[in-house]
Formats: sequence, C-alpha cells, structure tokens
Amino acid sequence: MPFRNRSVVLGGVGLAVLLAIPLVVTQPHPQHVLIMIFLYALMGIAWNLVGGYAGQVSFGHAVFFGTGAYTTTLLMTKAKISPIIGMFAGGVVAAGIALIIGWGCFRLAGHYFAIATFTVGQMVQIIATQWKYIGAAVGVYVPLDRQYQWWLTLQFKSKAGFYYVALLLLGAGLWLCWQIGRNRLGAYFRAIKGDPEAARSLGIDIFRQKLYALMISAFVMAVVGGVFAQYVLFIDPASVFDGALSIKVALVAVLGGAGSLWGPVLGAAVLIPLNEYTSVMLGSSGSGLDLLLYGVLIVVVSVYQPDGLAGLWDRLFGARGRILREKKVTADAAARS
Amino acid sequence: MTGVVLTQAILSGLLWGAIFALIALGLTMIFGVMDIVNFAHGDFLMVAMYVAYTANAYLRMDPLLAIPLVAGLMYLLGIVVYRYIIKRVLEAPSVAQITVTFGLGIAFRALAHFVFSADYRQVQHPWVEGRVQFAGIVLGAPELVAAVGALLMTALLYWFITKTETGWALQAVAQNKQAAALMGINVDRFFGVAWGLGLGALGVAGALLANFYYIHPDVGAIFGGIAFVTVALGGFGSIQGALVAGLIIGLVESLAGVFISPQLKYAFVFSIYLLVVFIRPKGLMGTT
Amino acid sequence: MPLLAVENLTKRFGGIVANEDVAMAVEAGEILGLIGPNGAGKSTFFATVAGFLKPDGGRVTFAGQDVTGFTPERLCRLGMSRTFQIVRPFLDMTVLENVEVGAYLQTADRKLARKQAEETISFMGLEPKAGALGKELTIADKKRLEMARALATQPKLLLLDETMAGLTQTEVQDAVALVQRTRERGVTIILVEHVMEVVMSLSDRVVVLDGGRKIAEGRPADVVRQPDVIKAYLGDKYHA
Repeated sequence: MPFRNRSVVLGGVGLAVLLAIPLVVTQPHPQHVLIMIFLYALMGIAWNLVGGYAGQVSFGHAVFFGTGAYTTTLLMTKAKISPIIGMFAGGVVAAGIALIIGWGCFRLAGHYFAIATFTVGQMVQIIATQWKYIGAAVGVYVPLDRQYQWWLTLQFKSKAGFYYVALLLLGAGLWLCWQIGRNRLGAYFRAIKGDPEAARSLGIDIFRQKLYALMISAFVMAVVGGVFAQYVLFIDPASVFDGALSIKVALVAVLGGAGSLWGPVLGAAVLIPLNEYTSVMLGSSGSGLDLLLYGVLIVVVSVYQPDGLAGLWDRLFGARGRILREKKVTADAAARS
Repeated sequence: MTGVVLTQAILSGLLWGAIFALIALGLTMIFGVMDIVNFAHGDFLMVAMYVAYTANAYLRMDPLLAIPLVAGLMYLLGIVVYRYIIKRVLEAPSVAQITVTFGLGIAFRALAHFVFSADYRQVQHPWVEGRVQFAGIVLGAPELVAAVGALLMTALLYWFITKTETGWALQAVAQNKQAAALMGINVDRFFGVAWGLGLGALGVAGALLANFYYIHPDVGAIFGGIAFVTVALGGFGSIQGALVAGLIIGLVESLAGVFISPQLKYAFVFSIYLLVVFIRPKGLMGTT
Repeated sequence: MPLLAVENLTKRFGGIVANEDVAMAVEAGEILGLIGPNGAGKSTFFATVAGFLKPDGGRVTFAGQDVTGFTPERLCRLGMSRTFQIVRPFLDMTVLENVEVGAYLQTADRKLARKQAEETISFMGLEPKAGALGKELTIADKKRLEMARALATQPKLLLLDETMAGLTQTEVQDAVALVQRTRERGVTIILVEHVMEVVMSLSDRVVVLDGGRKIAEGRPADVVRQPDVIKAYLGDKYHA
C-alpha cells in the first residue's frame, strides 16, 4: 500500500507543477518547446498503438496529422465550423483513411509495411501539393479569431492557453491508452506482438485488431493536427504532410520506449528540446551538429537500450513507469524495489 | 514527333532504371543475407558521392577512375558499420534494428553538412561529359556511361553471388543461417561481407553518379526512397528482382514525368509500387 | 452426430503427400488418441483440421457445420482450440495475462476475463506461478500454461499436440490427470502423443496413421495388437 500512496502523492505534485509552469515560465520560446513536447508525446503515444503494441512500424503517420489539420481548417474556412467540432470530424476522416490504408497494407509483413506507409505518406504529400481545392502548395491560412473566443476557436492570445490545451489533450491521450492497455484491446495487441500464430489459435483476428489500432492512432493524430493548425495559423502540405514529421513521431516513440505507456512522453521530453535548442545554440547556419547528436543518440539508444528510455527508467527505478503490466511477484522485481 | 519523344522517354527511363537497380542491389543483398533493412542506404550513397567528389577535388581523380577506390573504401565502411554497430542489434527487437540504421543515416547526413556545408557541389572537368545524339534522341554521355557501368556492376555481382564460393556461402547464409553455420561457414564474417558488398555497390553507383549529379547532404533522400520502393517491388533478397524492378521504376518515372506531369511522377511510381505489392505482398520475385 | 467429422482429408507439400484420404469422427465427450510413427502425418493433420494449413481435398465438419478451410481464429470462435507441439507462450506477459488472452474470447469485460482466467489457472494448478512471466517458466509449466490458455477460450473440442513430450515421469502423471479432469468438465479431446502408455491409458479410442494414411482405428487394446500397427512401428520382424 505505501507504494500506491507514494505514487498518488507524487502524481499530484507533478500535476500541480505542470499546471503552474506557465505562470512561472513566461517567455514564449520555452513555452513553445513545452507545447511541442506535449503534442509530440501525444503523437508518440498514438504511434505506439500501432508501432509499439501491435508491432507494425509506420513511417507515414503524418498523413493522419495533416488530415486533421486540413479538415479542421477547411471546415472553418468553408463552413465556419468551430475547430473543436472540426477536430473530431478530422479524427473521423483520418480513421476512415486509416481503414483504407490498413486494409490495403496490413497483409504486408514488417519491413514491407513500414516502406508502404512511407510511400503512402509521400504520395499524399505530392497529391496534396497539387490539389487546388485545398490550396495546393500555397497552403491555407487559418481564419484568425480576433475576439479570441477560445472556447469556440481554440485560439489564444498567449501561448499559455495552448499550453493548457496541449497538456489536457496529453492527459486525455494517456488516459485513453491506459484504458486500452488494461482491457481486451490491449491484451490482444500484446498477444499479437508476442506471437501472432498463438494469438490466432486463441480466436484473435489479427487483421481486425490491427485495423482498430491504426484507426484509433489515426484519430488521435488528427486531433493533434487540428490543434496544431490553430496554433500556427497556417498550414501547407510541406509542413503538415511532412515525411520528417512521420519519422520524428516514430523516433519519439521508439526512443522513449515502444510498447510502454510513458515511453513517448520521455522520448518527447528528450528529443524535442534537443531538436529545438541545439539548432538555436549552434545556429541555423546548417552546421549539422544538432542532427549529428540526434543521430548518434538514436544509434546509442538502439544498440544499448532497445527498450528505450522507459526501459532504462525501469532498470534504474523499478516498475514505476510500467502501467501495462501487473506487478510482478518475482524475485527480480522484489530485489529491484 | 511523339514517337521520338516516347523513345527518348523510354531510353532515359531505362538508363536511370539501371542506376536505380545498382543502388537497390546493396539494399536487397543486405536484407537477403541478414534480414536487416538498411534505412540509411540513401545516405550511404551520399557518402560515396562525397568520397568521389573529394578524390576529384583533392587528388584530381576522375570519378570513373576513382570507382575502385570509392568502392573499396565503401566496402571497408560496410565492414566497420557491421562489426561495430549492426552486429550489436542482431538480437534486438526489429524496431531497434530499424531505428539504428535510421540514426546512422541522420548522423552521416549531419556529418556531411558539417564537413561540406549544404552547398551543392559538382565534380569539375570529368573525362566524360556532354551529350550523345542519334536519330533525334539526346542522352547525356555521363548518364549513359553510368547506366552501362551500373549494368556491368550488376552483372558482376550476380556472377559473384552465383558462381564463386564466397557467393555461395552468402547464399547459404541467406537461406539458412543455422545450417550454414553447421557447415562450417563463419556466419558473422559473411554478414560483414554482405555489408561490405552492399556498400561497395553503392560506392560504384556513387562514383558513377558523381560524374554528373549535383552532390549535397540530402541527395540520399530521394535515391534512398526509390531504392526502398525498388527492393520492395522486386522482392527483398532478390537480385534479379532488383534489376527488373529498377528498370520498371525508371520507366514509370520517366514516362509519367514526360506524359503526365513532372510533379506527379513520383506519385505514379509509388502507386505502381503499392498496386504490385497489394497483389503480390512479397514483391515480384521475393524470396523471404 | 459426431462433434468432429473428417472426410477424405488430403494435404500435400509439393510432391509429398502428408495426409491422404484420412477420415475419422470424434464423438462429444470422447478422448481420442492419434498415434503413428514419426512422419506419419499427425502434426500435419492437426494443423489442417485446426485451420493453420489449407487442405488439398476432403471435408471437415464441426458441430454439424462445414468448416473446411476456415481460419484458426474462426474455428476457435466456433469452439475448437489447440495447443502447439513447440510451446508458444507469450513470453513477456505473465501467466495470468496469458490466460486472460484466452478468456477474452468469451467476454470483453476485464474483470470477468480475469475471474475466468484465475479459475482456469487454479484448475490447472498454476496458481503459484500466476505472476511469473512466460519466459521464466519451466518447460512443464509452459505446457500447462499452453493448455490453460486454450481452455480459457472454453472450447468444445481441444486438440492437444504432444503435450507430454519432454516431461518427467511425475510430470506426465500430473498431465494425464489434468487431461482427464478436463474431459470431465465436458471438453472433447483429441491428442497426438508419442508416449504410448499415456495414449493407451487416456484414450477411449485410438486412430493410427502411417505414411499419411489411416491404418487402424478402435479401442487401444485392440489396435495395439493389429499386425499393421505393429509393422508400422517396429517393422516386419515382430508380431503380437
């Protein structure tokens, strides 16, 4: 019981700290970095559903992100619909696209699937760049709400508002994944990842479960895309259907620890600041050292700690980060705690 | 007039197809032998191109002359990368294998940025330059040489894999590592050889391309993407598949670019790929 | 009406005919033993009936329904479960979680699945190991887990593939008792076994395969005396 109480208290303190940060940290750039951390953490969690739990690595997740951004924005410009509704509409559209992509691609094993998602991502970006209805390469400006009725448009005067929205969404995303993890869907995902043939012998329709994973993942990505559109106020295929975004999302999840709930949060907390601050420190003169650090870090983590930072955390601090697994009653865990 | 345009497009497509095939060869070989997809493949090509460039800029070597040098250095790089990095993730989950090569690609790209800056570089005064003209068709001479070189190299590799003992050992390892080990084949050594050959082939391709292509740190991205699609189309692990797929992709890219739209040509390449893979998930001639 | 009826089942791998025209019927509540020398086609037969291989000919009828060519997951949902010869536990999940995966077939509710899993685990005597990870178990426990997991799906028919292989004498005795108790719960069982005493003591009836064909069928004591069966196992020189 002490363990339980301790983590509740710690959680409460952590939450209070997080809520108070914008009051203390008031410069826009650090606030921006924090917002990006939350959004990428959430996207990493979404990616994890397919890549970590169900074991299918996707390099095309930007498709869903961009779908959300465009659906939200176009509903605003063409039908004056609030982005709060637009976000969910975007999620539904993205889930539909996920259904198509999954239906076509899930029969492909591992590497083939990864490459197929990459190609789909590239294709979508190319087509979007030519598609006049959605603004083609020029992009779309998100209508600015001069009255900052944030409850309607999710546009805030200062970044602090976005901070809280992003934090709220991250919390919702964590809750969602926690629920998935402890229920049938999560158990089936882990079974599929563990041993697909054995899973089939227990009645699991692998194809269908993977579709569910991808659809939920797509929905979450699209919601983030919708929020992002309100944050940057301008979207175009180059930025929201960007292959580099797909890769960053995958790296956040893998670096943090694919298959664990908190992993992507850790991954984002490390990768995003690294990204943002090194390019500021070393200058955008293209010296490339920030990327070098990035690349080396990924190699090192992959070689020495394939479980990612979450795995490292586990090894150092015990089973605290792992909400996916029952507390082990083995000598191992006892010795660690 | 469209007859000439068509022929031009076809020849140009085949030319590039041969080059794509050579680039894809290394990727498919590494996968065939050890089930690892090298996501840094395009970036290694970039490295090869820079090596050729350096040989030209500082040693005044013509890229064509430098082919053995570049190939040799890339071969060694392959062995080093295998021995010190790839070897350690052989037993790791496949996610780690994917990300490690990714990280390598990013690191090399950043290194190129750092050493050479983002400027577009070009080899100066290559031996082969200019154009070849016949029957109203114009082809770049270096491109033609590159294509011929690529085909020769592909044939050489194919001969090597099928007719030499080392090649047979590689095939044995590719088909069944445990059995190969039981036959006394040092699997670890041949994994290294596979990487060496894979990057060595890139070395040849890089030197051939350096003859006429602009070199910059991100040049690997598009070639890498095409290589993946080529290998997946041809079937992971199949050399003949890589050749056939390379030619197909070269043709599609060229014809789509000329007759439909230059901006959409890659969309066509990708959709052909998706179509084939949808019907035949293992690619045209996939083994695994 | 038999629970499972197999007619003319044929399965080829290239030039090799692994199963040829095999026919058999299993009544509800029976324990049927499937025996035969190595290479007789027992595992192929199992895999084909259970949906992991597609038959090249013949028909499989389960609970009155033609299920020929159905996928393993669909068959499982209809009430046919199997264990694997080389055990396949979910290595990174606990025993409880493993069995829950099976239990989830019957219910989407987390608590119900857990309860069902706990019941099955205690039935199989795996309680002390409930929190252990799949990869931490001994081979005997892994086999027990395999069976527990399949049982949690509440099958009508359970296909046990060489559950006794690699077990010590005591472990075999425990396993035999488990199989009997399982049948008492109302599960029909087909077992593939090499360990003769086990098959003979457990099975109500026995089917013998040799070279892909059925060569004998009947009660254990009768089958074992048939000259064809003896010849299949021991060659021409021996007789009853």
